Amino acid sequence: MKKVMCLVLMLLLTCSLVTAGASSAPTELIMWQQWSGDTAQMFNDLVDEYNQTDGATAGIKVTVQQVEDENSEMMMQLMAAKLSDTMPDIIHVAQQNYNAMAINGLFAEPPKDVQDFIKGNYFDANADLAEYNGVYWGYPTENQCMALIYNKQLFADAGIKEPPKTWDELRTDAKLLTKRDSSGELTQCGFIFPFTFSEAMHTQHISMFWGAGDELYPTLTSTNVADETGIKLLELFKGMAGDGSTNANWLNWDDCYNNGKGAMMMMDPWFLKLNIYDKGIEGLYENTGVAFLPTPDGKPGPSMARGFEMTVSSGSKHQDEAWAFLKWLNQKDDKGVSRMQTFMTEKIAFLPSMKGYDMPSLWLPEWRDMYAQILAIAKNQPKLADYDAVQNSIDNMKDNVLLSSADPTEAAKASEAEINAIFAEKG
Amino acid sequence: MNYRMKIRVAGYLFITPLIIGFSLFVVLPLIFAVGVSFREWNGLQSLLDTKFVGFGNYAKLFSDPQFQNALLNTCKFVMGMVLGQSLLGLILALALNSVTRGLGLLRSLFFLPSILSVIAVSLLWKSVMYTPSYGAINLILKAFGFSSQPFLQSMEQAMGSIIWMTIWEYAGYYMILFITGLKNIQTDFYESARIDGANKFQEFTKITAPMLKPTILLVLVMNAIGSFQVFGPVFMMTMGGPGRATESVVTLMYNTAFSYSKFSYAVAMAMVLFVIIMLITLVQMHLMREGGLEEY
Repeated sequence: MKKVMCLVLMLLLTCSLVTAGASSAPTELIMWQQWSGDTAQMFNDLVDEYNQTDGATAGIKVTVQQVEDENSEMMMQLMAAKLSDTMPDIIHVAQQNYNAMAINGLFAEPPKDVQDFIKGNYFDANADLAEYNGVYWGYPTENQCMALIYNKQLFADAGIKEPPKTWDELRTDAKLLTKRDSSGELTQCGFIFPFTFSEAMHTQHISMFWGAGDELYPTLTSTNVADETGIKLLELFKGMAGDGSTNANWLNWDDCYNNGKGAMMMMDPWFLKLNIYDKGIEGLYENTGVAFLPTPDGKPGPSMARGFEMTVSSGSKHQDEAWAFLKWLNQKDDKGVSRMQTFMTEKIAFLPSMKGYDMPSLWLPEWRDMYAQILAIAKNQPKLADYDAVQNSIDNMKDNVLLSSADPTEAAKASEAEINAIFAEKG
Repeated sequence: MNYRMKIRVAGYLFITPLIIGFSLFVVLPLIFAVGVSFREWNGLQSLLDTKFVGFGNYAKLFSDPQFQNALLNTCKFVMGMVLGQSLLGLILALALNSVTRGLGLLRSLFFLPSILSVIAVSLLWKSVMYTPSYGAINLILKAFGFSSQPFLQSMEQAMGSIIWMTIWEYAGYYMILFITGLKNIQTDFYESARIDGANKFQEFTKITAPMLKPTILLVLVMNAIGSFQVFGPVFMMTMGGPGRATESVVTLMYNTAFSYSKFSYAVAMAMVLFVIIMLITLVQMHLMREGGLEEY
């Protein structure tokens, strides 16, 4: 009898210990984001701060995992995760895939207070990009808006006082800024195309259409890629490549500007800190200028605004906890500070997406002034349902025109047929 | 049960695990894939909610210029890789067959690239060897007075650059297969031929090549099957660019399924590729069925 009593007591003790252990373990949340290197480390430090403070109090622990977002890697991983029921709790995704992800049910619908916060606190453009079917699906974390980035020193050396304002000036200046050695080898190109970076190639095309007073996508199911503006734009690019003043068949874009081998390019503001400041040659950061994209008539034209969103996945088994963490990260604390916006502007020098936030303090004052003007007239990224497929078509068209003898009109018409087929399929 | 029956039953029992595994991991998924190719599935919804389109995906394939381009590129890859890897493998095998000193070291050196990760090798060639202006190959070209080449940045050169990288990587592997084949050829035949006054070329064409036919068939079939499915080097080095100049069928399948969420269409591409590979393998085996020691 005594032995039986002891055994029962031991069993009860073991059960209570196990239960106590289980109940004291924090709720684990997995977050997917696409940064690597120092940026990822800084973000992990911010997440660790949560884990040690509010997270510890709430019994929540967030672990960050890196997933590349280039070439739809994030989309692919999310789809595989959904099929295998292993979705992360929180995801940080590019807005260009947002529509497709929302349509495919990859996001959890945010609580009403989160949606109200998004509508009321972010720039209209950013909040609009977070919206699909009347729901605001995630916190916009940054703003990317393409501008002309140029090397002021190289411009001065070539005797050019100002960056180009018109398409003709762009071509002429690119020629003047090109240098070759005694054997005819290119040593410095005037204009850098972002070959292999299809997102930038597409953004450049959309923005230059707007600058010409036209629309690359007049509706979400039609394209003007082969209209008069489209042909003129391709002829401009082909002319520049034919002049030998670009990096066509030469260095890739990220090697070119950082090493002082290219004078100007059209790129997003993330490039200023993550590439030029962190990886560029000495003096390049201070010698970099920012300007409006050239337009046919020289008047400032809108460029494309877009960014990334942070949201909870539909496969999360801890959605309340995930939203609690995202609120801590993105929403303003009692001092009116958003930790995410502070991280974006002060740590990695990105443009803010939230109202009331200053431009990055790391930026040169002239950049802040210029981006304020650029943002004032920026337009939103088109919410195309099959953004990646359409983007691939535009990128392919430009590669064909710039890197081979393809005729601009034929290339544009081929792309138009392809894009129309994509739109027709999506309905 | 008599003895013969027992042997038969034992034989079937031994192969049962293989049959079960083959059925579960090859046959059933193949049947599932064929079924998926007749529907319109985006990879996320339930298959029961998808529309049945019959041969619609296949019909679309044959009028899809992007698929036609990818198929043409794949054929070019196969020609270049099969010819290059097999020929260089054979040349290396013939050369090493007459080497006596340092044979083990040389064989290892040539074989080594084939055991390296294809990801690592692709990145190495992309970042170190092929970089325009200051890549290793361009530095050598400039040292000899030639102009630097764009390689992977050029629509004309990108495919050849990838093919050359795969030849470097896999020629050593096929060299080992050819060496094994050469070792199986009895030296008596060569001695008799020399006595009869045959030169090296005649020895190769009349003895070596016919006797090596089974090995050549094996190499060509393996090489062709692998080359038709080229993906790793293309994905790592060019992502199918520039301007789809290197887009292979498998690269297109990958993007179609995972970037554009058109799983059924991607599966249809896989089925077409499967049939093409099977037909070419059957043709190869039919053409090369003669040869070897028994025929000789």
